Amino acid sequence: MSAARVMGALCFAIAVLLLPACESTPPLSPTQWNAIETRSVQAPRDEVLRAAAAVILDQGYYFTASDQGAGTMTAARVPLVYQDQYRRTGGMRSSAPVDTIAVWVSQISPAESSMRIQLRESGEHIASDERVSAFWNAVQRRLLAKSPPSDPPSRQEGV
Amino acid sequence: MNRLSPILISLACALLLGCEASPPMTQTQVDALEIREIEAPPDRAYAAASNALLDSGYQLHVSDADAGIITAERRVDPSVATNTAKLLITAILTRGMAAQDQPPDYFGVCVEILPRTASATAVRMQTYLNGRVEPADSPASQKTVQELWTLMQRQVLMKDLPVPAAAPAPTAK
Repeated sequence: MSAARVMGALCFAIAVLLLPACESTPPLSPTQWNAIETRSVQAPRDEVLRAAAAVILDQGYYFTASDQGAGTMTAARVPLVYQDQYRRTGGMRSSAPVDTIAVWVSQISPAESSMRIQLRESGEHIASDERVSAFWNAVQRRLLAKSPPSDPPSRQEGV
Repeated sequence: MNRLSPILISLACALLLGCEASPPMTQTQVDALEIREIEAPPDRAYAAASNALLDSGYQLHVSDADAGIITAERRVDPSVATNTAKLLITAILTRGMAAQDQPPDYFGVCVEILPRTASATAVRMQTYLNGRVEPADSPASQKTVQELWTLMQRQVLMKDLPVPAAAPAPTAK
């Protein structure tokens, strides 16, 4: 066996060994997506929806759809790179790839709601536990800011 | 030369300080600029906001009265002179390879109606330019919000006017 053949066989074996490393990660299952995107909030549904709407605006999105009855809201913002395409293809009605956020709030109990936050960047579904948690934290902060201050302790008279 | 160096260094330092970017506003500061209160129940505030946007030439894209959310956008085309100038300049600079016109500008507004009491409502207005949010303290944003706010208040006042009494029917002789 010539040295060239040995080298060829060796290279082939290495290539075969390296190929599995190129395998892409398997797509997430619906249950996994649900786990990443869903958070529980200790507040009634309508209050959570209002707080979520405020956070959506805080983060620079504009609303593209809203249905209070269903508890859903969708919003978008235009990445700088696609701003020219946005301007040339009709503004909010344009087909420019935008970053979107969809929020779905449903009531679990009178004082607890479930909130699902779905993020997309230029159409691509984003699995980001950190960003979902950041949004959830911002919603909770908004809810705390809106909650009425606790009554001051009543003064004891005649003491 | 040696005497000049410290002066030049101090001048450069002074200029560098001038380049310092202002710190980003806190959410409370943004809220203070964007949220205003109006003496009207939420449904009337919502109607006044819708009317104000339509009066200002905006096209409504999203309107959800139950959630108190409105999104509207207005297109402003560049003047013919601006368009021609840009076409000519880009044609000359790129030797006719990539002449470009001036695209229109899209001014957007998101309105959020926040019920406070039975007779008072808070209204939050956030402005956008070409799909991106404008800083709440920018002069353009403040001007837009002020104009819409004035129109909204006018709408509420107009509805407060008493309805003129019907003229008495002529009596038959």
